[in-house]
Amino acid sequence: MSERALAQLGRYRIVAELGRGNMGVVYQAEDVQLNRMVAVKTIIAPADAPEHAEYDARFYQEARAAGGLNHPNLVTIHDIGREGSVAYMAMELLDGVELRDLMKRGRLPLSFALDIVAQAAEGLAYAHERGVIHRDIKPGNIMVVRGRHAKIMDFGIARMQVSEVKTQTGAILGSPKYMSPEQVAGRRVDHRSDVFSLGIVLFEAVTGSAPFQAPDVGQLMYQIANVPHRSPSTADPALPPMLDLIVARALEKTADARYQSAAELAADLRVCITAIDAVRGAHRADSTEATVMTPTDAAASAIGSDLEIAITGTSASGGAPNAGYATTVINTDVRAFFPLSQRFDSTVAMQRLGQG
Amino acid sequence: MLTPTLASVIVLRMPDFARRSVRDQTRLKVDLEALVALAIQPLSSADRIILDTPDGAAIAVLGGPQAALEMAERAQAANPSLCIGTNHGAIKRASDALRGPGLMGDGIAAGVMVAGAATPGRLLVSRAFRDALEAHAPAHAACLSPVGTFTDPDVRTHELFAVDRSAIHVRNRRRFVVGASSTAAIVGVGLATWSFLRKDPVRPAIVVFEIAPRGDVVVDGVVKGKSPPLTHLELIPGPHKIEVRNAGFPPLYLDVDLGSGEEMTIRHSFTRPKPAQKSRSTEKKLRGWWNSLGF
Repeated sequence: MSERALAQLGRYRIVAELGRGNMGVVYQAEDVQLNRMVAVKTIIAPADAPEHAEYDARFYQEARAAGGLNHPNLVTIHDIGREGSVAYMAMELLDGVELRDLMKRGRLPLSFALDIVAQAAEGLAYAHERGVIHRDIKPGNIMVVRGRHAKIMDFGIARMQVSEVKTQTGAILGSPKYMSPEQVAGRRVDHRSDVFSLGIVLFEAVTGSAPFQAPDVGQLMYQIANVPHRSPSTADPALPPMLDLIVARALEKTADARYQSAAELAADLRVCITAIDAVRGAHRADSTEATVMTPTDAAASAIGSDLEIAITGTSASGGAPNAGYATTVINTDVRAFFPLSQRFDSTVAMQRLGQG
Repeated sequence: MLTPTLASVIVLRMPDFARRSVRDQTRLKVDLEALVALAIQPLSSADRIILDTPDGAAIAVLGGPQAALEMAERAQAANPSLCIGTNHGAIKRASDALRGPGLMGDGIAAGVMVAGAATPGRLLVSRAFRDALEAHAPAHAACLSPVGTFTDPDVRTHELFAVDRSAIHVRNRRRFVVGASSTAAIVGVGLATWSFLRKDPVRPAIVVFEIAPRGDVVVDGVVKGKSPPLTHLELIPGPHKIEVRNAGFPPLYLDVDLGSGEEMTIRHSFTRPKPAQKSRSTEKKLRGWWNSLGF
């Protein structure tokens, strides 16, 4: 069946195309039986017959597991079905924007970013408790609706996507940017792999840049598996140390050293948010003193404004950590190099050392 | 091309840091940074570089091994739960593609290994550091006694020395008198029984608490318990930061410098502040909480 010719999928009347990806197309559709609007995602199966059968079986197995999930931070799956060679999934229609699109503008306001990631972690925790692993957590799979509400999409088919990319080409085509060390090594993954991926999302949301950066996929995978990440405070020293530690725990190379559940990650993020809100409340209550805003404070209060963009741009360039240092090393041994503390100014002594 | 420089490196390790919850880690990290800020105060900013380590911090001291030893002693006295290792060796400015500017070199790497061999409350130094100290300040090097050898995971053997506390106690005594008098003047709490007995071996100092109605006792950033029922604590002689907290009241802060076998009584009643001061008190409490979370 041609994708373009689609006017009806089962009981769903196609209204409009919402998006198109590697796996298939997402449509806005009307459920003619229940008279409600839904999103229908089609999944194009491989043409090869044996692979097709295996793919089909796995799709239904995964989709059934994901279909049993009911949580405010997970997109609700209403139905799965097949129309000719096209398998489809009908799900909650969301009026929102992907986190990926929000992050294209740069770093997000701190409280907003922490809240969105905490919500995603709470949704993940719910799914993990029911034995469902996402396997492809990334900003493109987190939808932000009504401005502040996070919903994770593509539970159940994420595994299919990764599998397809590997089996059809023999190599990973997409960016492994959000993959865990166990994923890039091709080892068996569990729910803690999702925690690592969400840690990458967290880092990127609060700093505007990725924790691992390499010119090609191979080096990026090597970094994910072996190289210690940089701390968020290297991008913005105004970020709280607790955030450095949260990110460090989420991005541990070994799953056993990582947060053992997404709920733990969510709980720590909530503590962070509460502390930020409390201090901002104290600042607002004190009307006798001039307001002094840190870049992160200002960004938080200026979501969507030009000020936010200006601050983001300034911080991103000002935080370039390597300026002025001639010797650049790529570390393979954590004991060989020790970064400057962001909490103390060692500039004068470093300059003296350079002259020696 | 940058050439390596010889420097003394103090490595402050928080034991079991990786196994703690992030909230505990945050509190410990904030306390450690406060301690480092105090420890480096006597040094010029041109003489010290502060580095992050996976389980603590490292301070590269360019001002000579004597200054480094004094700093290490201050750090140990302020927080006896730290494991502290000190080395003298080559360091070099470098930049990591991901983690930004920093230092590399055997001065730090061996310092980390020495700190790994140290136990809480025990300051260990390497042979290289001892030799450097002897060359710069022979009298101070006499405070260092050999305690054995340690083979690290890279099968490198380190000859270790510990600071002989009885030898350095004479130096601490002068600081103690100054510290005690300024504390009494600023805080105005009852400092009842002072003992100036100086007998070897070094005996723990005793701090007696008479708190009404009750308060949480924190020593050097470590929560010791509620008083009452806590009536007294034994502390290692030397400077300590004592804090007594009661939710809703301004906390009591004390900087003390205790001598061997010394006894001190802290009497304090938490009284409700005047209404006009309430908002300030609330803000202070919030700030304390904020600070405890590392903001």
